[in-house]
Amino acid sequence: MRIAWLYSSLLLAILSAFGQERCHLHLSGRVINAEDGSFIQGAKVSVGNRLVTSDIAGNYDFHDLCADTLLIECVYPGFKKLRYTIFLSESRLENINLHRDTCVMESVIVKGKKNKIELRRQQSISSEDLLRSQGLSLGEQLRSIEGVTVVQTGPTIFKPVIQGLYGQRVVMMNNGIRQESQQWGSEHAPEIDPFVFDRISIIKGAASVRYGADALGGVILLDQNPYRKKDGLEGAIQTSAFDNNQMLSAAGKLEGRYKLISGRLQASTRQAGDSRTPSYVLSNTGFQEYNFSYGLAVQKRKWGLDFYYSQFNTKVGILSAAHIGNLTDLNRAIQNEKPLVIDSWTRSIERPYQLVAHELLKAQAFARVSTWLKVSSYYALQYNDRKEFDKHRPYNDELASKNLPELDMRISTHQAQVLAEHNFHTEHYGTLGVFYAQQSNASLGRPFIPNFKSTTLAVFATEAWQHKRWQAEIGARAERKFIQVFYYRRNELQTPDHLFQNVAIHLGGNYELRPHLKLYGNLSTGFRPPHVSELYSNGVHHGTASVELGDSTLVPEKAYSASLSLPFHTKKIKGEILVYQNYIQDFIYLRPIFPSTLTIRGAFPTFAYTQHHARFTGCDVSIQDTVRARWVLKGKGSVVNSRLVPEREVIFLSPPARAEAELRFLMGKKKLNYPAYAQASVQKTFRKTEVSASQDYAAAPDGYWLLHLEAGFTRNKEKVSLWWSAGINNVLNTRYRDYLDRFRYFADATGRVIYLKCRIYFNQQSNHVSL
Amino acid sequence: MFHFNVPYNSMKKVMLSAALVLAAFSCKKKEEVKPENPVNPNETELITTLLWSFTEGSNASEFKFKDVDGEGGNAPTIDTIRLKANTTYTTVITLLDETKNPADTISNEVMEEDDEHQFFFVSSEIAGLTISYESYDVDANNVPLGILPKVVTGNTTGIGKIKVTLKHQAEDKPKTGNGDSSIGDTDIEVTFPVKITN
Repeated sequence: MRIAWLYSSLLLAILSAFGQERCHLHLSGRVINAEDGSFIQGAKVSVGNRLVTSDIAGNYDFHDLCADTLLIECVYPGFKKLRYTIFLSESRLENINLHRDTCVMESVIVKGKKNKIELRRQQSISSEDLLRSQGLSLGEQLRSIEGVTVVQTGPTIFKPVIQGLYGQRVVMMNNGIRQESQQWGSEHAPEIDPFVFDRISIIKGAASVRYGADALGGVILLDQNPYRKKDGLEGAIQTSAFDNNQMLSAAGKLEGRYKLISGRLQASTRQAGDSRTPSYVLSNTGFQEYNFSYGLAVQKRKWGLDFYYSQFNTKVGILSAAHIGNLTDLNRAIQNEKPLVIDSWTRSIERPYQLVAHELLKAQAFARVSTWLKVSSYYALQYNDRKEFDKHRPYNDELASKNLPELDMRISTHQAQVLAEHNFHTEHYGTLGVFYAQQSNASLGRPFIPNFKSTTLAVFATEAWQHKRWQAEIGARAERKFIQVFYYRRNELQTPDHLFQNVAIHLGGNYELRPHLKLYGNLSTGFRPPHVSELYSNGVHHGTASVELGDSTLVPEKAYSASLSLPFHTKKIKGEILVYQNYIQDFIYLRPIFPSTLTIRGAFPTFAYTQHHARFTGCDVSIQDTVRARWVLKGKGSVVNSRLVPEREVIFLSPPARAEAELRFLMGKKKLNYPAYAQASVQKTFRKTEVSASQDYAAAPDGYWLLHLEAGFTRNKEKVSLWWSAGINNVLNTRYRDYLDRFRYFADATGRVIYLKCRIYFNQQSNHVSL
Repeated sequence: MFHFNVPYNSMKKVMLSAALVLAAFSCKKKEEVKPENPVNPNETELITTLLWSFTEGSNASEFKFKDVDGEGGNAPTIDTIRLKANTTYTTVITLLDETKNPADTISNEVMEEDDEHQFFFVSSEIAGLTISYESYDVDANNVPLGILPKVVTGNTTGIGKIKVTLKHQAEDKPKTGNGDSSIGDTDIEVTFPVKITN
């Protein structure tokens, strides 16, 4: 209750701040095609010497205008240029109607996403942040979005957490395809090469209707830029070096277009040795990653074909000291201040380690059947092979000499979708889709999760309307999942099956309070069938020295998610405030059970998958203020309260509160858009409080402060653009342990990191993002 | 039910041919695995049994810690070690994988790798019960292995406990002295109840 009060007063304060009359006038409105009433995106609108481009919904606007007679000019290819004057005495809406220029031949580029209404708030890593964070893994990059944290397994394995949820409940869309691997493991990082993507954005909260019933926590969208629009060749080379673990990364991209055919080839590698804390080496934490992808497309106005293939390969060392024999070993490791195994620094990776390969193949086609109907479809195939090597080989010499992985899981997934998008009228947009997926999982080596085959069939539809300042959407998805499981119990093959089906609903909308101030609201439901790991796990999890027991009677989780979001920007300040509540009925989690399981290796703490209602309430805030011409101050923070209800017990591994502030000084000529910068940022992570002692082996670590410094510059020439940056993370070499890092039981987090990064882009086409 | 049976193997062929151009990068040969034929856990290595044989003069007895279905599942069965007071026993520890037929004697491997392993013993809750290393039960560096421990009972009769631990210490096993139980990972940790009578 107190929290709700806090949020509403915070919202009120912000709203009233905007309500105050300033002595600046606004002029805003839409650019409209006078013939059919559609909105025109990309039209140039100028008032005096100021120029803006209309956005996806045809909106344009100007701030800080003085009361005066103004000349408005509007141009868009294929339409007659419009010039007229108005007298501005107060802020007003002014729609601009453009008429087709009959003298000009049809030269308008048809945009695939014309008039698409933005209903779900998406937050993106800015193209600049994406560039600045190059060389890091995907999970680490996502941390730059407020409200996103990571569950970590040491310095190299990161899994994104959105609004307190992770793993199965966060869906990743890799180039439009749901990433399917062994997502259930908290030490299984997403098998995705971040160098492939030009845009990384997230949707917070349940987004089941469009992305799959299980997307209860949110969706991560990873996309590439559209192919070049003109014939030619372009490319980029990126490299970075980090001193702490002597990591080197290199990536290259080559893209070309000849008439209708476009192609793209990309490859990257990252290589690192052991990471270092301020006082010792984290032995066996190096990694080696090799990735590549290519795409080929034929694009015409009425139809197009697109083919894409990517491969991800990694070998990741696991901190030797974190591989635990039994409860006695675990307690000894926790009590010891340092890891029990510290060797001298090396690049080589020994047991224990993970060896993972992921392949994705996608074939996609679309056709514009008529002016109001577009049909697209894809087929995708994914193959994921995860091998985990324990610290010790088997005793049996014959087995040991084979050097086999102790866990070897292969999962293959076929997905197909047909989607029809209609656009009867520009103010009315809708989709109707059918999705089918088939998955098969088989393992060699020690059985941990059983083999299974599953099929998923889903039908979904959405309809969106736009009316004056309102946009609204309604959507529903019916999904049915069948799972058949294969495993041995007492030497006999068991083949139980499960059928789960349900409907997810989404209601969303936004209202434009005033130009550049929209209030978004969302109500969504979703359901997630239990994963085979939750139904049938039975065995020791060596990383955590615990026995995990599945429960084959689990029922699907049902989520009811509500959020309010208020993105705003004025001339100097921009930001966003988001409040949410996600209620999950029958939330599945691991609960400790007693007594511990007794085995020949000693006792193991035992956890069983159970269900209980849970509530996730939180708030994410970000703000950016141009304090003075060359000074930019950014701040962001997030807090989430995740509890079981009605007992109110805090859920294990829910993110502690975080806040970050960054001050940036821009250098160089204003005319060149300030090509250089220097900045300092501080990051505070609070201590996780109220955690229940029975859930955890060690108390939650203290909160900590980190200081980072960075400087960079860009140089754009006609054909080549160059970008450099250098920085220091954890400047003060602070010793700390993070609550969400599973290695906090054994070792400190990484110490100071000095890095140097660069990118060279040649022949860059203007429609691509650049710094 | 909408369940097609796409053979796993044909899928891999599609994958591999898709990557043909860049075949050099592609993964090594993949073994065939079908979800319908899961690995029987009884076909992987599992230490199921610790067999401890005690000899005193012409009397021999055996005690077992046995957990045939491994971690989880049914609870292990643990024998009570019954000993006589004021007696010295020579003993042998054998580790077995009884899921195999015939049972695989894993302790042979432990003896082969004696410079990487060591057994440790702790007695509790009863006075006078000691477990020590024999001088011949050592690795190449003369550091004990402890697979043939000497058990000596005292005057006290009653009930107590012995904890047996096998540590896998690899190259960290000490090269001198009597060993160090704080090093390495635990491969075995078993507590036997002990009953000493007159």
